[in-house]
Amino acid sequence: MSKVIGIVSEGPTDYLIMKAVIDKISGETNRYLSLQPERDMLGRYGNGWKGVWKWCEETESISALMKEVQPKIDAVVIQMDGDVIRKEKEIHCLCDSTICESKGRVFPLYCDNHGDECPVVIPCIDHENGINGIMGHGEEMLSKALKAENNDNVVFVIPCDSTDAWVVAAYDEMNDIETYKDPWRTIIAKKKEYHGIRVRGDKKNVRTYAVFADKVAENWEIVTQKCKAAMRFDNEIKRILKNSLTKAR
Amino acid sequence: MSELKLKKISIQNFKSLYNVSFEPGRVNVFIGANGSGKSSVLEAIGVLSASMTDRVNSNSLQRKGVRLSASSLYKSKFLSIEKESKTVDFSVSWGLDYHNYEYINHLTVPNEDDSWKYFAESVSCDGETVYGRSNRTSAQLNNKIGYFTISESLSAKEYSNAAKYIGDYGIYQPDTLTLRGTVADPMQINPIGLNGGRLAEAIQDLIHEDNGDCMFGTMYMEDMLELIDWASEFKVSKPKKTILNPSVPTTQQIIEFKDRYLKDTASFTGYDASEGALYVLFMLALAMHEKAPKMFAIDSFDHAMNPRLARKVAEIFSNKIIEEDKTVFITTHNPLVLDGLDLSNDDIRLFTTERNKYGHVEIRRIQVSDKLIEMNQPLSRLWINGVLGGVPELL
Repeated sequence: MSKVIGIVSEGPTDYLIMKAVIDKISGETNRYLSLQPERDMLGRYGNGWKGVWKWCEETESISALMKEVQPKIDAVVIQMDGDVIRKEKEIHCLCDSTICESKGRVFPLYCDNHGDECPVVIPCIDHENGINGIMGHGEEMLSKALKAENNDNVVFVIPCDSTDAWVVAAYDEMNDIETYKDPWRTIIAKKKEYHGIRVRGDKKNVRTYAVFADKVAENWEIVTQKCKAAMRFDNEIKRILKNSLTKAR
Repeated sequence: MSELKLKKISIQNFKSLYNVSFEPGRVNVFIGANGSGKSSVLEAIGVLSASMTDRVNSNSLQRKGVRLSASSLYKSKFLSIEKESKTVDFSVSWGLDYHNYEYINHLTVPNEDDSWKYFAESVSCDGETVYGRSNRTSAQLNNKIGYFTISESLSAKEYSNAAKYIGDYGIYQPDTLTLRGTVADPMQINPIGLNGGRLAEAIQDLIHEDNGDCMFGTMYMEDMLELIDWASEFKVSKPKKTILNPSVPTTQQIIEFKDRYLKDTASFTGYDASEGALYVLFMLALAMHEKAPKMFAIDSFDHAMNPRLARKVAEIFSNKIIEEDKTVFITTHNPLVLDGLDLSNDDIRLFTTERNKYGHVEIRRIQVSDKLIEMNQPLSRLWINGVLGGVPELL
């Protein structure tokens, strides 16, 4: 049975991939809601990883949001790319090893200490290296920000290094694609064409990505074999679908 | 006799509305991304209205404010449709005096001339067919005319009332020049044209004195002036050169405003007034004028209004529509209009229009609990943040 699924994603291209993949896993044409945080006064944090994190932090009660609007939202998928855990200091503000006066007092996105003024050290010693460590940290961070009573109908997905890796996995015979940094720039947009599809410069285009999204869905099984994050996402989507089936009974 | 209340409208195979139905209230607000089918819904109701109570051709559609399309484009042309349906199908059901009525038709789009043809139409009351015809009907009937208003079997008052209620439907799209009175309304109907023509005359009808109070329809003039806060007074008069430049084209009657910041002698007309004021007057005149249609649509309700003004006008307008037992269909892109709607009142309904993966329009009624609104989640915010749907999902 078709579901209503809210997606909080870094951007429209990630949203397209999530939609196509969830339809593939569920075997249904679901209804999707593109959930976004409000931007701040300077127009920031409306999207990107900061927008996703801000959405989690500022959503007062996700269960009320899901239940109190009709048609109700059956599940919420929250996506953030793994590269931010590798690259961004703010992500590690709240980690045990970080010693900082502002820790816990200011939401990291609003902290005034940047660059050298920021005491965060990356790579952060508090997490395992590798894909599992990145996924674990990303999920934990978003989950803490969300402060949900339970995450029964929430799925966190941290594609590594980004959802672009799933595109490469769908098209190319490459192993360990999750360990490649920035697969968009280094693989997909390296030339003007990618598998016969024109790629316009370094900017991601939603029309191009709609084609990629269909390919990812078509080759989803292969993608899950090559990408741990995809496999975890597959399992998580199946879990919430099973949950909603149980509730429906 | 109580006033008619619509129960359900269904549309099949009309433009992007391949198969939709919805249950309207008195005030029906449609939100959706640009190109999501909001205006098509208003137009489909226009075709339904014309087909039920008159006939469908270029004239009747234009009178209702329906955009004329090339004949072949009236029918859905989706890639996903393997076998095209022969007809465009409409139905409307309504309740009146404890009875339920339904009108259904199947129309073919114009071929040689501009007339749509009736493949079949039927009327039922409480599930019993009271009138029906189809291509197979033996009687010689004109297949370019709807028989709802001329069939002997539908001559009772309840049917003529329904024909009047649904048949007067029009899609209003006010534009500033027409409201200012500088251009004639190409779709002039009584009392207000579809583009806002003869607004001054309609306002004249609404201004009256009641027990010493100056009233605008059923509103105290003071309350009306709260919406046009710069004005200390407005009335309707003849144009004269002291208030309107003689070179400006004008109408026989004009709206004359006094600005509370200007000397009493400094009156001016709708030509010089803020356009927002004219839209406010237009909306409320439509809601309250006794000769205005009982059922109508306004495309882009919020046009030219400051968001806060649009919110307040939406609130007052909704109440007036309900008081007058009218039915209205409006579209808006202004989130604050939603905050002026009391969705706990079942007469006020919010719908989203969205295109599905095949491009077909889907209409959904949105209901939000008081709990969520109390949690500092006004409708405007829920809409902008994507929770209600009805937004461009990739922006």
